[in-house]
Amino acid sequence: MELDVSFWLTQFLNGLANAMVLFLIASGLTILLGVLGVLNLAHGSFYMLGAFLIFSSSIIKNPSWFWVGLLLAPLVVAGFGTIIEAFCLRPLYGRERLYTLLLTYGFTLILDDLVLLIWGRDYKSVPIPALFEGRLTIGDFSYPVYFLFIIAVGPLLGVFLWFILNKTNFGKLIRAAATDSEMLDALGVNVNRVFTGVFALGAWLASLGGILAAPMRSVEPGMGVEIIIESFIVVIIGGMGSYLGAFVGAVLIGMLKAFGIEILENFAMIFIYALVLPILILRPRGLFGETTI
Amino acid sequence: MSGLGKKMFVAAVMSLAIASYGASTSFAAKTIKIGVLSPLTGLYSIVGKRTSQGINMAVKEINDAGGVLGHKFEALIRDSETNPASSVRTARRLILRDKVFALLGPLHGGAAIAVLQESKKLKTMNFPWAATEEINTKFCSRYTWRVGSSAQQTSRAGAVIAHRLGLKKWATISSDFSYGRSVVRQFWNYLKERDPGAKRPYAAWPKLGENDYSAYINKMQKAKPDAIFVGLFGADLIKFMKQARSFGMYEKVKIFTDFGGNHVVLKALGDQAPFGHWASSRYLHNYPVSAGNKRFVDNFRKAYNVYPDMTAGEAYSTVHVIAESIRRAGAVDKEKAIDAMGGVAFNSPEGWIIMRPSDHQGWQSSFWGVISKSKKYPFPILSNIQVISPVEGSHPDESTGQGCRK
Repeated sequence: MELDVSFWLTQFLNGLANAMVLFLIASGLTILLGVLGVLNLAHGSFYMLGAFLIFSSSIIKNPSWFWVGLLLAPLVVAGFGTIIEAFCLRPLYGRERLYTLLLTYGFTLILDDLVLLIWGRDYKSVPIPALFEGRLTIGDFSYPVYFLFIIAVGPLLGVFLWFILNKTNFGKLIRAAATDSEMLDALGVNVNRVFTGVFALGAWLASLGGILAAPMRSVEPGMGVEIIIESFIVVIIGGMGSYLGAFVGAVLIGMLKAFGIEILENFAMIFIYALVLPILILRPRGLFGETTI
Repeated sequence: MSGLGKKMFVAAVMSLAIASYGASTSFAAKTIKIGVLSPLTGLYSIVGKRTSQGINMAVKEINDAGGVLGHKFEALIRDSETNPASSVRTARRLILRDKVFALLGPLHGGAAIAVLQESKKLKTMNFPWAATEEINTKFCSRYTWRVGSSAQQTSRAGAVIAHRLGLKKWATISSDFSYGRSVVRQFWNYLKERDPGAKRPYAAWPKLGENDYSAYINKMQKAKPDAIFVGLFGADLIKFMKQARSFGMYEKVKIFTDFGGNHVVLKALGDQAPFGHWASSRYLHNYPVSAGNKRFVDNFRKAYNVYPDMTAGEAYSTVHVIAESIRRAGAVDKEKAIDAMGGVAFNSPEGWIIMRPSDHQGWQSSFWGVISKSKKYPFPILSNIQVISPVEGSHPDESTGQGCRK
């Protein structure tokens, strides 16, 4: 069989586009795990809220709807995350992990029904922003511009996260809190505020993922539950607390899905678990993680 | 800990209060209760909402006209949760405790098959919403009936159109579960029967609820088909269409969607709908242009301020068919109504539906049309509607329904 370059390139880009959405969600999830030690099951609900909010802004018949939504919606969701962290999650930090698991799981159920109440039951579809309509065509090869936009946003946000974590004061505090939050507290830093900030950052990232995914996927309750499972696999592969790990893990999953379909079409998911299993056995802290879960 | 205990106590009391409130709404004698299982929560809750609306409207019409044999109809609508175990539990409760005359739903194929076996055991007629073909074949029984079109009917009708247009090289895509497989199998087998030269270089079976179809679309493009047949439904169909559109599939191939003519799908897709391509719906608000359909659409819009979609139309007709079977039997008796069900004819909004005794399936025409923009409606509709009569072979052979006599 002759090598069909444009076919394989398309499949590669499909994998990347998928990976970038996953990365946005998994990066927040992994930082939350690393710093707060909380597995936030409601993290996928922030992704869902982002998608629903961009749906609302898409109803405004003005070409700027996408940019307005892209700017405002993550801030709204981050604010919402702040409230959840400060009032519901904080009282549970000292207790067993089961309590936070139950609470965040409860939030996924509440938010799924809340979006039904607010946005109704009709199927929802978000159009592609006008700027990214159409395809980039070079010879045989033709690829949707919007997918390329998603692929470009991922690394940009990766750099942004790296900058926050390594070059800002807030980032230093986050890293310190991840290593030893008690010591940080003893040094007079308001650790609670750091935790809230991390939670809000995670919510911001997840909702951004939802916004980017919305024009390509559907906007529906329950969409958060599905994405959280894949994101968690990414965190296991990449290592808890490592956003670089989240990036690599997301790309691996994206590629396995895109190329797995080519090899064993109906069993592409097997490749993902085939990757997770040896990692859990041989390197339980993940590719870039420092501690085990 | 005591704080938590107190909260749990309050929660327990509240849930008891809610449960008993639900129980107190059932009435005593002189009512015919219809139990309904529909997805009221979760992903397919739009179906639950529209079926409930269709049912409530039919019940109101029947009662306003004086009921059936002096009995009022009453619908008990419950959440099926799209889950076989809880669907069966709710079905048992409806039959044993609420003593429903007939059971409608559920939607999910697996849950529907579990429920129809339970209603057979408990000797209560059951009309699943699920359209998978096994309901009229392998799993059919004296108690299992369906008024709305089955997966065979619309997809085989699609094959008739496909054959007429002379499209030869196909790719198909459908979700990997019983209904999804059934839709494509019926379409493809029937097309091959009519046109042995038809080829299918690629058949995709993504999982139900798949988010990303781009890898499948890429493989489809590689196969270079003349046309694709899409058996996906609901949100999956919307996702697939949007992605197919961004990859330029709308311009490259003819697209046939078995579920794509459903109003709620076209409304959601809006400007991104595949205009000029073929789709089917088991009920259409704009066709047939008959007094009956117009009255149904007007009343539905007056009551709920939305257009009825195909699940609303099916649910509405199902209730009327049950009423008709009771009238025909001349007695409010579960077994006698079933004896009278075969051959019941109902002039539904979509035209005459006749309950075929052999496979317990409503005999009716199927509609395929071209997705078009409309001046009259603010959303896409089907136009150039092709009516495929059951006689034209869109309906499976009678012998397939042997199971129904068990």
